[in-house]
Amino acid sequence: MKQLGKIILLVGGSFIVLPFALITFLSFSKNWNYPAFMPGSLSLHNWGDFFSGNNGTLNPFLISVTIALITGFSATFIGFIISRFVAQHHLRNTLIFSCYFPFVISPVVYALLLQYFFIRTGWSGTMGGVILSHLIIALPFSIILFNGFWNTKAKGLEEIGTTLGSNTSQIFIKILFPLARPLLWICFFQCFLISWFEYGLTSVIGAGRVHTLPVQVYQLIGEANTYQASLSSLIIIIPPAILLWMNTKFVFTKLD
Amino acid sequence: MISENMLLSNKILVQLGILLFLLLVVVPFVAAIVYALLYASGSAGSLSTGFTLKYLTKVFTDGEVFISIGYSMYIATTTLLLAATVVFFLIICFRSSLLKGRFSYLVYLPLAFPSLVAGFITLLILGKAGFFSRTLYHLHLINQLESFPGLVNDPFAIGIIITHALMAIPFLLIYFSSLYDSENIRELEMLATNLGSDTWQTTRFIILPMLLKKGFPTLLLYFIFVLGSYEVPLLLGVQSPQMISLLIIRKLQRFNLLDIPQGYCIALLYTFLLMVLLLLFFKSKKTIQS
Repeated sequence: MKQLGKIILLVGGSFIVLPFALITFLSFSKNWNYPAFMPGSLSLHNWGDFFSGNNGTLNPFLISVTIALITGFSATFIGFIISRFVAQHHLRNTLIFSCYFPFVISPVVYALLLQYFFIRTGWSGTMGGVILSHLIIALPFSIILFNGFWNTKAKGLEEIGTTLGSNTSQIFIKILFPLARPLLWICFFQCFLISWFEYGLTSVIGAGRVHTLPVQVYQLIGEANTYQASLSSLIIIIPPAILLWMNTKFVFTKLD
Repeated sequence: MISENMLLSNKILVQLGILLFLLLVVVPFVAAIVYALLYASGSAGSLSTGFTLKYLTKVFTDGEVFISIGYSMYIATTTLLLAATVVFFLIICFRSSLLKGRFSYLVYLPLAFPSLVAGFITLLILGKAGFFSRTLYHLHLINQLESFPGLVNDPFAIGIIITHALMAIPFLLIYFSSLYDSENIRELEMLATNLGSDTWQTTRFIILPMLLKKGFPTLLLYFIFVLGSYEVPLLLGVQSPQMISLLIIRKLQRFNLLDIPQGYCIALLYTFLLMVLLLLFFKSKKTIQS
């Protein structure tokens, strides 16, 4: 049984490592013609183009980082504060139920249903519009995530703070934010990733004018530019892989 | 006096918070649905002629939407069956070695893959000119590119199902492992073994029923996500049948303006289906909690 376990772990591990290895190889390659098993020649040419901004991926990367950071921070901060008021409301369950709709609906379908309003308000095709659309998806997730935080322990500490003369902002800054720190980090990571990964919503609301990294990857796949698409895909994967590593190493350990 | 002022400011803050919630969460969704309803009923849009049900009737008589919903459900169900089978097998047999030690980070790693990249990687691995095809060629199991079976862009959605299943496995593995711990299934398993149950009986009557019952809402939520997936079928799907998201996009972004109201009708049907599934999700969650 132990031998079988090792084999299964090895096969499973290979399945996880293979995609990484393949796109890493291809990002250093210029030709991988059938039936060659490995790319013909490896060079730093594609990566040189990326860092010098010649292949048009650096700009989408910076746009994606900006959008994801703003979305992650806003959704976490606003979501935490709103969730407190939602949790205290007598219609708490109904309000939480309404959070699930924007969260579970296909983002691209939601984007098409909202497109008219973005066009009318002049937000379509702008970075602000794309950030707002990402926020509309990430914020309900954030509220759902924080809903469990507002339990009797948080409420009790809040009441002690009020009894001792703290105002609402002091309660948030001195008591609630430190108490919720691990959860705030998780929420930030998740909302960052929601925005970082988003393709359908960005392509509709961005109207081709906001060129994020996923939009760039799709365009490169469509052009059958496997090598640049691999490089861009790798760049999409690296930040979440680091965040996941930090998440598992620090946040989950602290939560345990 | 101070406490009265504080109570008042707290009340105002609560109302402001709820207002912000309504503005950012509820209003966009309601506005989107109302606009879709108006467009689908011929009351809005460039070709609006007043209230009519002809677009809805056309959608129902056409039948394409039902094929699309059925196809999406087939993909979501098969994905979950495949992923859940693998996950339960891994949890029952190798749980401790999977989530502890060096391997644990590898389990989390696929969560770093967005759907678009996962779809692209499937193309690179399972495509006709992909990694597996080249491997089989060098093993002399095929002698040309065409001999490799069509695993992507195929009508049975093999590529879509494999991609979604591989993305679901790490998530479900982590979720069901924590459920296994929180529900003290290990202790129950030991108790059953002491009372004379064999491995199959313990799995059949204790582990699987407990995991499935407690995990049903999460499985349902994942089913909803796969049902509405867009990027993976966009890269790995076929023109017909299409998954529901792709069908809606095709109808709404066509040059034929007469297709747009039908697109909104299908989007509304999809939203209605989501509402039913969400109600089921909440009901099952409530049953488990009670």
